[in-house]
Amino acid sequence: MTTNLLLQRRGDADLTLNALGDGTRRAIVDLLAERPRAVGEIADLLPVTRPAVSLHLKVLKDARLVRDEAVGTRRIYRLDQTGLEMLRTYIDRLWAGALDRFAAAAEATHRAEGRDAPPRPATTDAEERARLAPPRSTRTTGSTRTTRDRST
Amino acid sequence: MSNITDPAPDTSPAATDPVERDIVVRAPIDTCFRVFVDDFATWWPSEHHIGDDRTITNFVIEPFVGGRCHDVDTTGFECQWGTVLDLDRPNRLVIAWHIQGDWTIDLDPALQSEITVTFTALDDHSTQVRLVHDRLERHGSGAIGVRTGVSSPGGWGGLLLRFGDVAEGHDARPLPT
Repeated sequence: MTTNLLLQRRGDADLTLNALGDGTRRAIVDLLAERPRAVGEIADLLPVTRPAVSLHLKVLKDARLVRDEAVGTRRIYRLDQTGLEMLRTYIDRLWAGALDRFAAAAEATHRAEGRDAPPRPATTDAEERARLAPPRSTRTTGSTRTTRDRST
Repeated sequence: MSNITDPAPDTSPAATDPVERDIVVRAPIDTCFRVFVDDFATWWPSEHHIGDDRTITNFVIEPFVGGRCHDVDTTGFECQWGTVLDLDRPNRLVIAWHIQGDWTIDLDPALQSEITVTFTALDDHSTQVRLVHDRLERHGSGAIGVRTGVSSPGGWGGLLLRFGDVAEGHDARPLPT
């Protein structure tokens, strides 16, 4: 399972690196980092034709570096934030499970210190809790990352 | 020919909305704060750490402003994923979150989101704990690169080379300066 994940990520990275291995495409990403733009606007700002811009945008879109949406009769391109969306989803699920575990630990501590605590009503999604709670799950989100900083 | 009307900011609202969670704990506020911070390792889900090959032996929040939030693995390596920005025992805790959208850690303050945990005593033996994890857009600004950074060696290209390194099982190369 981990191997599949690695291969998938390797594939994503290759796609992304290939997409950015071109000066025109990097210039397009640069322009879209400023603000969302239509194809024609990008073509006006770069020394390439509009069809060429469209082809470059397709490569960037396949690599999930940009996404597009229809605005009226135009198609507006903007940078994709897939990574950020994944991070938010992770954080959301993380806190759902972690806070339940925290509450259980705090209540257990309180009981151990001599005062009974009444049962606590469930306040977060039971399924999330079940998914996140097992302490020795082999599933590790973000498992292939390593850290850049060793703290000082 | 119509103009593009008000280009939306280049962030997806769904991706940058704060994560907000509330829970009522049947324990006094002092106990809640102590367990949250000082007994962090007793409740933090142990699978939530960075590095599949690491076995974690401890999770720590150092209880003072500037303190590190980190885990410790069997080799003694300490991975810092957060920093205490504010601590007002037993009422409030603010932590910077350094984990980026590409699952690397970057301690640059411009790229950190913030976790604010507020403890409110409902009575002598119950406490409301509210957690807000916001400023998530800062991770996006790092991921997409600021305008001047995008085409620089330390911009997209460098970040993605690091991504590739890690995806292949190596340590990420340092970003060029």
